[in-house]
Amino acid sequence: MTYLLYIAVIMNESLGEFEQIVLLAVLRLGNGAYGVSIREEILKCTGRQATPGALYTTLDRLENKSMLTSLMGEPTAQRGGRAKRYFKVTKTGTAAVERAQNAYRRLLDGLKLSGGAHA
Amino acid sequence: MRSSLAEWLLARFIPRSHAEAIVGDLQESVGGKSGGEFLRLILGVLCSLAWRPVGGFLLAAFGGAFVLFQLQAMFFGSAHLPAANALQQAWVSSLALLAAFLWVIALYSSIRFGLWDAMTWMSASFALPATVAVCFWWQQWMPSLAVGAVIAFLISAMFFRKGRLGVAAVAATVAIEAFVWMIGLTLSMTLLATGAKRLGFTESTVKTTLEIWLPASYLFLTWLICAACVRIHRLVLEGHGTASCFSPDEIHS
Repeated sequence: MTYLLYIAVIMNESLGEFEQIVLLAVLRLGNGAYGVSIREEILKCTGRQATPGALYTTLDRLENKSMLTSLMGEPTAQRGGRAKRYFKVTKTGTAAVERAQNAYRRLLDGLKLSGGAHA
Repeated sequence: MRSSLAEWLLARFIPRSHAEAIVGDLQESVGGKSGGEFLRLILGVLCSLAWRPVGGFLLAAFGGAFVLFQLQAMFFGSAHLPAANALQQAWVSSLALLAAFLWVIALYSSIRFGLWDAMTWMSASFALPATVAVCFWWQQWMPSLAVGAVIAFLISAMFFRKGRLGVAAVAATVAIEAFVWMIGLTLSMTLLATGAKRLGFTESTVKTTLEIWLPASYLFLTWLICAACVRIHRLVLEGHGTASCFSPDEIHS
Protein backbone atom coordinates (compact mmCIF):
# COMPACT_ATOMS: atom_id res chain seq x y z
CA MET A 1 0.00 0.00 0.00
CA THR A 2 2.83 2.34 0.94
CA TYR A 3 4.53 1.40 -2.32
CA LEU A 4 1.39 2.27 -4.33
CA LEU A 5 1.13 5.60 -2.57
CA TYR A 6 4.81 6.25 -3.27
CA ILE A 7 4.25 5.46 -6.97
CA ALA A 8 1.31 7.89 -7.00
CA VAL A 9 3.48 10.64 -5.52
CA ILE A 10 6.30 9.92 -7.98
CA MET A 11 3.92 9.88 -10.95
CA ASN A 12 2.50 13.20 -9.85
CA GLU A 13 5.96 14.73 -9.76
CA SER A 14 7.25 13.27 -13.04
CA LEU A 15 7.19 15.44 -16.16
CA GLY A 16 5.48 14.90 -19.49
CA GLU A 17 7.20 15.79 -22.77
CA PHE A 18 5.36 19.09 -23.25
CA GLU A 19 5.92 20.03 -19.60
CA GLN A 20 9.67 19.58 -20.13
CA ILE A 21 9.54 21.72 -23.28
CA VAL A 22 7.68 24.49 -21.42
CA LEU A 23 10.05 24.39 -18.43
CA LEU A 24 13.10 24.52 -20.72
CA ALA A 25 11.60 27.43 -22.70
CA VAL A 26 10.93 29.35 -19.46
CA LEU A 27 14.50 28.62 -18.29
CA ARG A 28 15.91 29.85 -21.62
CA LEU A 29 13.90 33.07 -21.49
CA GLY A 30 15.05 33.98 -17.97
CA ASN A 31 13.17 36.98 -16.65
CA GLY A 32 11.26 37.63 -19.88
CA ALA A 33 9.11 34.48 -19.88
CA TYR A 34 5.41 35.18 -20.42
CA GLY A 35 2.73 33.56 -22.60
CA VAL A 36 3.69 35.08 -25.96
CA SER A 37 7.46 34.79 -25.54
CA ILE A 38 7.19 31.18 -24.32
CA ARG A 39 5.13 30.21 -27.39
CA GLU A 40 7.65 31.93 -29.66
CA GLU A 41 10.59 30.24 -27.95
CA ILE A 42 8.96 26.81 -28.30
CA LEU A 43 8.30 27.49 -32.00
CA LYS A 44 11.85 28.74 -32.56
CA CYS A 45 13.54 25.81 -30.82
CA THR A 46 11.27 22.89 -31.64
CA GLY A 47 9.26 24.03 -34.68
CA ARG A 48 6.17 23.13 -32.68
CA GLN A 49 3.23 25.54 -32.76
CA ALA A 50 1.91 25.22 -29.20
CA THR A 51 -1.78 26.07 -28.95
CA PRO A 52 -2.52 28.76 -26.32
CA GLY A 53 -4.95 26.40 -24.56
CA ALA A 54 -2.35 23.67 -24.13
CA LEU A 55 0.29 26.18 -23.07
CA TYR A 56 -1.78 27.95 -20.39
CA THR A 57 -3.12 24.72 -18.87
CA THR A 58 0.43 23.33 -18.76
CA LEU A 59 1.76 26.53 -17.16
CA ASP A 60 -1.00 26.34 -14.51
CA ARG A 61 -0.35 22.66 -13.88
CA LEU A 62 3.38 23.29 -13.45
CA GLU A 63 2.63 26.13 -11.07
CA ASN A 64 0.34 23.82 -9.07
CA LYS A 65 3.16 21.30 -8.88
CA SER A 66 5.39 24.11 -7.49
CA MET A 67 7.67 23.82 -10.50
CA LEU A 68 6.88 27.31 -11.74
CA THR A 69 6.01 30.53 -10.03
CA SER A 70 4.31 33.52 -11.63
CA LEU A 71 4.14 37.22 -11.02
CA MET A 72 2.09 39.95 -12.67
CA GLY A 73 3.97 42.71 -14.50
CA GLU A 74 2.91 46.24 -15.34
CA PRO A 75 -0.03 46.88 -17.71
CA THR A 76 1.00 47.98 -21.22
CA ALA A 77 -0.96 49.89 -23.88
CA GLN A 78 0.07 47.36 -26.57
CA ARG A 79 -2.01 44.76 -24.74
CA GLY A 80 -5.07 46.93 -24.16
CA GLY A 81 -3.86 47.96 -20.70
CA ARG A 82 -3.46 44.36 -19.57
CA ALA A 83 -0.54 43.12 -17.50
CA LYS A 84 1.82 40.31 -18.49
CA ARG A 85 2.10 37.24 -16.30
CA TYR A 86 5.78 36.36 -15.95
CA PHE A 87 6.93 32.85 -15.14
CA LYS A 88 10.04 31.62 -13.43
CA VAL A 89 11.21 28.05 -12.84
CA THR A 90 11.56 27.12 -9.17
CA LYS A 91 14.27 24.92 -7.68
CA THR A 92 11.76 22.03 -7.70
CA GLY A 93 11.14 22.63 -11.43
CA THR A 94 14.84 22.81 -12.24
CA ALA A 95 15.47 19.58 -10.33
CA ALA A 96 12.55 17.84 -12.11
CA VAL A 97 13.70 18.89 -15.58
CA GLU A 98 17.29 17.84 -14.77
CA ARG A 99 16.04 14.47 -13.55
CA ALA A 100 14.02 13.95 -16.72
CA GLN A 101 16.87 15.01 -19.00
CA ASN A 102 19.37 12.79 -17.15
CA ALA A 103 17.00 9.85 -17.64
CA TYR A 104 16.94 10.54 -21.41
CA ARG A 105 20.74 10.85 -21.43
CA ARG A 106 21.12 7.51 -19.64
CA LEU A 107 18.76 5.88 -22.13
CA LEU A 108 20.71 7.32 -25.06
CA ASP A 109 24.04 6.31 -23.54
CA GLY A 110 25.85 3.87 -25.86
CA LEU A 111 23.18 3.94 -28.55
CA LYS A 112 24.29 4.41 -32.14
CA LEU A 113 21.76 6.75 -33.69
CA SER A 114 22.06 8.66 -36.97
CA GLY A 115 23.92 11.44 -35.20
CA GLY A 116 26.65 8.99 -34.06
CA ALA A 117 27.27 7.17 -30.81
CA HIS A 118 26.30 8.95 -27.60
CA ALA A 119 28.99 8.94 -24.98
CA MET B 1 -15.91 44.92 -25.57
CA ARG B 2 -15.15 41.45 -26.98
CA SER B 3 -11.92 41.25 -24.94
CA SER B 4 -13.77 42.25 -21.76
CA LEU B 5 -16.30 39.50 -22.40
CA ALA B 6 -13.50 37.02 -23.09
CA GLU B 7 -11.80 38.08 -19.84
CA TRP B 8 -15.05 37.64 -17.91
CA LEU B 9 -15.60 34.16 -19.40
CA LEU B 10 -12.05 33.03 -18.61
CA ALA B 11 -12.36 34.42 -15.08
CA ARG B 12 -15.11 31.83 -14.43
CA PHE B 13 -12.40 29.16 -14.42
CA ILE B 14 -9.17 30.90 -13.39
CA PRO B 15 -8.22 33.90 -11.21
CA ARG B 16 -9.11 37.30 -12.72
CA SER B 17 -5.47 38.42 -13.01
CA HIS B 18 -4.57 35.25 -14.94
CA ALA B 19 -7.54 35.76 -17.29
CA GLU B 20 -6.44 39.35 -17.86
CA ALA B 21 -2.91 38.22 -18.74
CA ILE B 22 -4.16 35.55 -21.15
CA VAL B 23 -6.42 38.02 -22.99
CA GLY B 24 -3.50 40.48 -23.13
CA ASP B 25 -1.23 37.74 -24.55
CA LEU B 26 -3.78 36.81 -27.20
CA GLN B 27 -4.32 40.46 -28.15
CA GLU B 28 -0.56 40.83 -28.51
CA SER B 29 -0.33 37.62 -30.59
CA VAL B 30 -3.17 38.58 -32.91
CA GLY B 31 -1.92 42.17 -33.38
CA GLY B 32 -3.72 43.69 -36.36
CA LYS B 33 -5.28 40.41 -37.54
CA SER B 34 -9.04 39.86 -37.80
CA GLY B 35 -11.40 39.50 -34.86
CA GLY B 36 -12.10 35.94 -36.01
CA GLU B 37 -8.54 34.87 -35.17
CA PHE B 38 -8.87 36.34 -31.66
CA LEU B 39 -12.20 34.56 -31.19
CA ARG B 40 -10.70 31.25 -32.36
CA LEU B 41 -7.82 31.55 -29.89
CA ILE B 42 -10.10 32.56 -27.01
CA LEU B 43 -12.45 29.64 -27.70
CA GLY B 44 -9.48 27.26 -27.76
CA VAL B 45 -8.22 28.52 -24.39
CA LEU B 46 -11.74 28.48 -22.95
CA CYS B 47 -12.28 24.84 -23.99
CA SER B 48 -8.90 23.80 -22.55
CA LEU B 49 -9.61 25.54 -19.25
CA ALA B 50 -13.29 24.61 -18.95
CA TRP B 51 -13.43 20.91 -19.73
CA ARG B 52 -11.84 19.79 -16.47
CA PRO B 53 -14.03 21.85 -14.07
CA VAL B 54 -17.21 21.14 -16.06
CA GLY B 55 -16.43 17.45 -16.67
CA GLY B 56 -15.39 16.98 -13.04
CA PHE B 57 -18.57 18.62 -11.78
CA LEU B 58 -20.82 16.47 -13.98
CA LEU B 59 -19.01 13.27 -13.02
CA ALA B 60 -19.12 14.19 -9.32
CA ALA B 61 -22.81 15.13 -9.42
CA PHE B 62 -24.03 12.06 -11.29
CA GLY B 63 -21.45 9.63 -9.90
CA GLY B 64 -22.09 10.73 -6.30
CA ALA B 65 -25.86 10.38 -6.68
CA PHE B 66 -25.44 6.97 -8.36
CA VAL B 67 -23.19 5.66 -5.58
CA LEU B 68 -25.50 6.91 -2.82
CA PHE B 69 -28.62 5.40 -4.45
CA GLN B 70 -26.88 2.10 -5.15
CA LEU B 71 -25.54 1.80 -1.59
CA GLN B 72 -28.87 2.72 -0.03
CA ALA B 73 -30.70 0.30 -2.35
CA MET B 74 -28.24 -2.46 -1.47
CA PHE B 75 -28.95 -1.96 2.23
CA PHE B 76 -32.65 -1.18 2.34
CA GLY B 77 -33.91 -2.73 -0.88
CA SER B 78 -32.47 -6.21 -0.70
CA ALA B 79 -34.93 -8.94 0.36
CA HIS B 80 -32.45 -11.82 0.67
CA LEU B 81 -30.21 -10.10 3.24
CA PRO B 82 -30.75 -10.46 7.01
CA ALA B 83 -32.71 -7.66 8.72
CA ALA B 84 -30.48 -4.99 10.23
CA ASN B 85 -30.82 -3.93 13.85
CA ALA B 86 -30.99 -0.25 14.85
CA LEU B 87 -27.23 0.00 15.43
CA GLN B 88 -26.41 -1.59 12.06
CA GLN B 89 -28.90 0.68 10.32
CA ALA B 90 -27.27 3.72 11.90
CA TRP B 91 -23.65 2.85 11.04
CA VAL B 92 -24.34 1.50 7.56
CA SER B 93 -26.44 4.56 6.59
CA SER B 94 -23.76 6.92 7.92
CA LEU B 95 -21.01 4.97 6.18
CA ALA B 96 -22.95 4.97 2.89
CA LEU B 97 -23.28 8.75 3.17
CA LEU B 98 -19.57 9.10 3.95
CA ALA B 99 -18.67 6.84 1.02
CA ALA B 100 -20.83 8.97 -1.31
CA PHE B 101 -19.13 12.14 0.04
CA LEU B 102 -15.71 10.61 -0.60
CA TRP B 103 -16.65 9.42 -4.09
CA VAL B 104 -17.87 12.92 -4.98
CA ILE B 105 -14.41 14.27 -4.04
CA ALA B 106 -12.57 11.40 -5.76
CA LEU B 107 -14.54 11.70 -9.00
CA TYR B 108 -14.28 15.48 -9.17
CA SER B 109 -10.61 15.46 -8.25
CA SER B 110 -9.74 12.72 -10.77
CA ILE B 111 -10.89 14.96 -13.63
CA ARG B 112 -10.04 18.36 -12.18
CA PHE B 113 -6.58 17.59 -10.80
CA GLY B 114 -5.72 14.26 -12.43
CA LEU B 115 -5.64 10.59 -11.47
CA TRP B 116 -2.29 10.84 -9.70
CA ASP B 117 -3.24 13.81 -7.56
CA ALA B 118 -2.93 13.35 -3.78
CA MET B 119 -6.56 14.40 -3.24
CA THR B 120 -7.84 11.85 -5.80
CA TRP B 121 -5.73 9.10 -4.29
CA MET B 122 -6.60 9.78 -0.68
CA SER B 123 -10.34 10.20 -1.25
CA ALA B 124 -10.54 7.05 -3.41
CA SER B 125 -8.45 5.12 -0.87
CA PHE B 126 -10.90 5.91 1.92
CA ALA B 127 -14.00 5.64 -0.29
CA LEU B 128 -13.17 2.11 -1.40
CA PRO B 129 -13.10 0.41 2.05
CA ALA B 130 -16.18 2.40 3.08
CA THR B 131 -18.04 1.19 -0.03
CA VAL B 132 -16.95 -2.43 0.45
CA ALA B 133 -18.00 -2.24 4.12
CA VAL B 134 -21.49 -1.05 3.12
CA CYS B 135 -21.79 -3.71 0.38
CA PHE B 136 -20.99 -6.51 2.88
CA TRP B 137 -22.46 -4.93 6.01
CA TRP B 138 -23.99 -8.18 7.34
CA GLN B 139 -20.60 -9.92 7.56
CA GLN B 140 -19.28 -9.96 11.15
CA TRP B 141 -15.68 -9.29 10.08
CA MET B 142 -16.49 -6.39 7.75
CA PRO B 143 -16.35 -3.40 10.16
CA SER B 144 -12.96 -4.49 11.55
CA LEU B 145 -11.59 -5.15 8.04
CA ALA B 146 -12.72 -1.73 6.79
CA VAL B 147 -11.37 0.09 9.85
CA GLY B 148 -8.11 -1.89 9.55
CA ALA B 149 -7.73 -0.93 5.86
CA VAL B 150 -8.38 2.74 6.61
CA ILE B 151 -5.87 2.77 9.50
CA ALA B 152 -3.24 0.98 7.38
CA PHE B 153 -3.70 3.48 4.58
CA LEU B 154 -3.63 6.39 7.00
CA ILE B 155 -0.35 5.21 8.49
CA SER B 156 1.24 4.65 5.08
CA ALA B 157 0.11 8.12 3.99
CA MET B 158 1.92 9.65 6.98
CA PHE B 159 5.29 8.64 5.51
CA PHE B 160 4.98 11.17 2.67
CA ARG B 161 4.46 14.92 2.77
CA LYS B 162 1.99 14.70 -0.12
CA GLY B 163 0.22 11.85 1.69
CA ARG B 164 -0.18 13.88 4.90
CA LEU B 165 -1.38 16.93 2.98
CA GLY B 166 -3.75 14.76 0.94
CA VAL B 167 -5.33 13.35 4.11
CA ALA B 168 -5.71 16.88 5.53
CA ALA B 169 -7.28 18.13 2.27
CA VAL B 170 -9.76 15.24 2.09
CA ALA B 171 -10.71 15.60 5.78
CA ALA B 172 -11.33 19.33 5.35
CA THR B 173 -13.39 18.79 2.18
CA VAL B 174 -15.53 16.06 3.79
CA ALA B 175 -16.21 18.35 6.77
CA ILE B 176 -17.28 21.19 4.46
CA GLU B 177 -19.31 18.75 2.35
CA ALA B 178 -21.26 17.52 5.38
CA PHE B 179 -21.87 21.12 6.48
CA VAL B 180 -22.99 22.21 2.99
CA TRP B 181 -25.42 19.29 2.66
CA MET B 182 -26.88 19.75 6.10
CA ILE B 183 -27.36 23.52 5.89
CA GLY B 184 -28.03 23.60 2.15
CA LEU B 185 -30.78 21.00 2.11
CA THR B 186 -32.44 22.48 5.21
CA LEU B 187 -32.39 25.96 3.65
CA SER B 188 -33.59 24.65 0.31
CA MET B 189 -36.56 22.84 1.85
CA THR B 190 -37.42 25.81 4.06
CA LEU B 191 -37.32 28.08 1.04
CA LEU B 192 -39.59 25.77 -0.94
CA ALA B 193 -42.07 25.42 1.95
CA THR B 194 -42.20 29.20 2.50
CA GLY B 195 -42.60 29.89 -1.22
CA ALA B 196 -45.30 27.27 -1.63
CA LYS B 197 -47.22 28.69 1.36
CA ARG B 198 -46.98 32.29 0.12
CA LEU B 199 -47.92 31.43 -3.46
CA GLY B 200 -50.71 29.11 -2.32
CA PHE B 201 -49.45 25.98 -4.11
CA THR B 202 -51.72 22.94 -4.23
CA GLU B 203 -50.41 19.54 -3.15
CA SER B 204 -49.84 18.43 -6.74
CA THR B 205 -48.02 21.68 -7.61
CA VAL B 206 -45.74 21.23 -4.59
CA LYS B 207 -45.03 17.67 -5.72
CA THR B 208 -44.16 18.79 -9.26
CA THR B 209 -42.04 21.69 -7.98
CA LEU B 210 -40.22 19.33 -5.62
CA GLU B 211 -39.27 17.08 -8.55
CA ILE B 212 -37.41 20.01 -10.12
CA TRP B 213 -36.36 21.75 -6.90
CA LEU B 214 -34.57 18.78 -5.31
CA PRO B 215 -32.30 17.91 -8.29
CA ALA B 216 -31.61 21.64 -8.82
CA SER B 217 -30.65 22.03 -5.15
CA TYR B 218 -28.50 18.90 -5.39
CA LEU B 219 -26.66 20.26 -8.43
CA PHE B 220 -26.19 23.67 -6.82
CA LEU B 221 -24.84 22.14 -3.58
CA THR B 222 -22.54 19.81 -5.54
CA TRP B 223 -21.23 22.84 -7.41
CA LEU B 224 -20.52 24.55 -4.06
CA ILE B 225 -18.68 21.42 -2.87
CA CYS B 226 -16.62 21.31 -6.09
CA ALA B 227 -15.71 24.98 -5.54
CA ALA B 228 -14.68 24.16 -1.94
CA CYS B 229 -12.65 21.23 -3.26
CA VAL B 230 -10.69 23.57 -5.57
CA ARG B 231 -10.13 26.12 -2.80
CA ILE B 232 -8.89 23.50 -0.33
CA HIS B 233 -6.69 21.90 -3.00
CA ARG B 234 -5.18 25.32 -3.71
CA LEU B 235 -4.67 26.08 -0.01
CA VAL B 236 -3.32 22.72 1.11
CA LEU B 237 -1.77 20.93 -1.86
CA GLU B 238 -0.62 23.57 -4.30
CA GLY B 239 2.66 25.33 -3.62
CA HIS B 240 2.80 29.07 -3.99
CA GLY B 241 6.21 30.61 -4.52
CA THR B 242 8.04 27.65 -3.03
CA ALA B 243 11.78 27.61 -3.45
CA SER B 244 11.58 30.71 -5.64
CA CYS B 245 13.69 33.81 -5.71
CA PHE B 246 11.32 35.69 -8.04
CA SER B 247 10.99 39.31 -7.07
CA PRO B 248 9.18 42.24 -8.75
CA ASP B 249 12.56 43.93 -9.45
CA GLU B 250 13.37 41.18 -11.93
CA ILE B 251 10.38 41.93 -14.12
CA HIS B 252 10.89 43.41 -17.59
CA SER B 253 8.12 45.67 -18.81
